[in-house]
Amino acid sequence: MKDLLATLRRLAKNDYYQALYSSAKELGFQLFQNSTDLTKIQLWFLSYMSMYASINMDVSLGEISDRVLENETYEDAYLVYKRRNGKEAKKQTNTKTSNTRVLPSTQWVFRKKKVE
Amino acid sequence: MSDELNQEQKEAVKTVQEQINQSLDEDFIEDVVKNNICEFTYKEIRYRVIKPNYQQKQDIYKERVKKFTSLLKDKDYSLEKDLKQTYLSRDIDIDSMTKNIKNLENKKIDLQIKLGSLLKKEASDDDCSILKKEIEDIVQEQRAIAYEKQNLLEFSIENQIILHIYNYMTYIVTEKLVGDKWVKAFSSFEEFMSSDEDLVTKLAFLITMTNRDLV
Repeated sequence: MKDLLATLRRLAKNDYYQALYSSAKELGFQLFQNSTDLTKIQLWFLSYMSMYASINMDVSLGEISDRVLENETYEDAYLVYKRRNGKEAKKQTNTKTSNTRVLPSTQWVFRKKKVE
Repeated sequence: MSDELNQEQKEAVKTVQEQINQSLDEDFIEDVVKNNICEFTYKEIRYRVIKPNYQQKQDIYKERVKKFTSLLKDKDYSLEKDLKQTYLSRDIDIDSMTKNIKNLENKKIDLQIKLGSLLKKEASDDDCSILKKEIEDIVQEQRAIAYEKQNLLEFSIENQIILHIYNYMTYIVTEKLVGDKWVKAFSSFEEFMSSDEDLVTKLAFLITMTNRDLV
């Protein structure tokens, strides 16, 4: 028997659960027999399904070749790289935004008319 | 203490991982995932693990306090911080092991970013394989250090309580099917403690996987 997490990953990665996951997201039906009070193992499974959905999406968009799905080390490495790149890109966007002036150069100040 | 892990330690890690997983097959895990009510058959008896109710949670909490107080009075047991000091006097530095795990994690992340970048650039299989091997070695080393650390701290009061409470919780929330009624699986904690190891492993797995925020 293989490692528990490896088994969960294998299940989450297979076409049946991936199809189920994307249909559940689009059509809004529930994945498990219980709709609330998810257990620890269910939360892990959901997180793995979401992880593989994200990789599959990138593969289908041509962002990365399907070699990434060859083994868990490649999958994890790609996701860490992607997250880090996303953070860098966000940081750069934030820096650009903070450098630009939010207010226009000319500001009008409205005063209340003094009551005599 | 050497930072390098010897073959014996690596083997020990492997053995423990195998022991934990041997009674859990893929179908069983799939069933547990699909439903938060967990049932299985062991030696022709149908068992299930239920979610503890408020009263049961109170019982578990009381047992925890009772055990903690009794271990605190017992001079044979030490708190984790005292145990760490004792180890330090024998040149075993637990805190440095924790730091080591953290440093390895940072090293792993750096390598993962490099590997991710190579995969994105569609680099050669050879280049990717070298990094893959390095990452896998780091993971193995982290596991071995964590296993060693866990072994060293096994006898702390904190760990003894966790172990006891998991056992106690398993005893409280396990039921078996008699006719068409679910009844308590064990009449006493002692009966539970003397039951088959395989059954206890399976139940303990269900408890840890299906419950949250209990311990």
